[in-house]
Amino acid sequence: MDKVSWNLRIVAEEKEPATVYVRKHQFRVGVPLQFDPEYQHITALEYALGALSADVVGGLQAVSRRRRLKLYCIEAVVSGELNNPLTYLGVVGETGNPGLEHVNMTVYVSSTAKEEDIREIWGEMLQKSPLVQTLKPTVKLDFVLKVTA
Amino acid sequence: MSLLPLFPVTTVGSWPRPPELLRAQRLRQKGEMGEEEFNKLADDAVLKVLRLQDEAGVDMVTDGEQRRDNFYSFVATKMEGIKLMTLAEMLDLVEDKVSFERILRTLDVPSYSISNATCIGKVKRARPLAVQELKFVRQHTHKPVKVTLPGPYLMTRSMYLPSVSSKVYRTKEDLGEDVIVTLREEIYELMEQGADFIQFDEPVLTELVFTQGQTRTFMCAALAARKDPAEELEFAVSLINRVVDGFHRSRLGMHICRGNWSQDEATLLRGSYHPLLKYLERMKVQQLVLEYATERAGDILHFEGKELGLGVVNPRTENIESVEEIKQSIERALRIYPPDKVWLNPDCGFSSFSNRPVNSSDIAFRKLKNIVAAAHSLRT
Repeated sequence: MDKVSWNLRIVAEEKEPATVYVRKHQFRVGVPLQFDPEYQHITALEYALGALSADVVGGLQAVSRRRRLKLYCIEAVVSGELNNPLTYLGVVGETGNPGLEHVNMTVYVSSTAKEEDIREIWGEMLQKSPLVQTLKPTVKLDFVLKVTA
Repeated sequence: MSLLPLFPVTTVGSWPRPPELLRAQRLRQKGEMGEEEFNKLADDAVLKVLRLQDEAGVDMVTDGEQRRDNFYSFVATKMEGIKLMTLAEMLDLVEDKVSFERILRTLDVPSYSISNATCIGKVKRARPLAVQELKFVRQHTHKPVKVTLPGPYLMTRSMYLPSVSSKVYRTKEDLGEDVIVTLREEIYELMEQGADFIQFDEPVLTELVFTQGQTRTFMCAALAARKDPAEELEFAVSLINRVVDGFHRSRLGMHICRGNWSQDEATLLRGSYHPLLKYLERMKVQQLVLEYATERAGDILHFEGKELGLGVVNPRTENIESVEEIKQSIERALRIYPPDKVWLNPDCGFSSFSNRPVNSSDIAFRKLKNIVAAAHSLRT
């Protein structure tokens, strides 16, 4: 198969947040990361964690549909830690890098299917997830699946 | 009601549901299972819970709340003006999303797993809330029966979501008027059908006094803006007293705990009932069903004119309290209560939320059995 690319255009004017143009859509992204809970925009780091989680959730939906397993609801709760966010701020004397070091994710799945079947599609999804497979070599990914009724 | 022995043993209400019933609850909620098919499974589950209580030797039984999805939101399908909303749906509507998220993380639950009965229209009892449950139990036991209902303060507070409820009721106090009418209709029918004990569950009362400046950890308390705790407690007293006014045929009680959603005791509220004492004493119910099996509850207090439903086992631990430990708890209560005023029960239900039991049926049974053994030992 020929290589396929996904193309986006990102524009930022003066102090305005960046606007991402993709296909027929656009969305705005704030600064790379932010410590102020009142900050008005969604940061790039939050988008990245959101994208990773959506990849997992959406992947589970896709695999379960193929296997004809009914999942009523999927919910992911995620938190990410950087190796050292202070290096991003440029604090003198801080070492390390500001990259993602650790991501904790709990994924709750509501289904009346057998738990072993759900765990099987969970494994398949992780193998096929583009973002999980991208991050896995460099970021510690602690993912937990919890099946509820 | 048949004559009860000294130290009557009962439960606080809920019992773990079998997996097939949990599955059926989910299918029924999704409209994939009819009422008749669901009731057949639920009937079997209730019969099993009755049998276990009988084998354990309890003196007053409940149906284990087997038909309910949780201890308070089950009313949604039986009332007009109420919509059962998952917390996932409510995330869009609550003002303080950050606090809401913090609570969900503390509870370690998905937002889809807890549903809240939310007021979206004029509230009215469309059909009985618990009368059918009582009728079924009555047909299958000769023992006295306890029926649990969400208390009027819990109902009013948890149902009132300002962004949607204020279109119908200007304030939650206005909504409270119709909650009173609903519960009075229910009590009347339950008494007609011979309920021996009606217990109102009011877990949010502890939330009012124990969370000054702390994270709110009880779900329903996040839903309505909080006023001065003293004002809220006065409101709670007035609601319950108007609900029970004039009803004398059955024993009326109120259960107040500090949360029952997790086996991690550290996440649950802590503190003595002392700040509630002057309010609880004014509530016109005969019995206060209180948790005293953990040190989080502080010393046993004397509530003037009330019976004590003494919590003697922790429903959330796998450790089975010994008969001797339970007897010691009872003896502590007997220092301030006469024997005929002390009833025995676990601290709370074993599965307040159907999909989140805090223990297995087997452990619940063994705990009950030891309470019964302790009661027998002290009666002789």
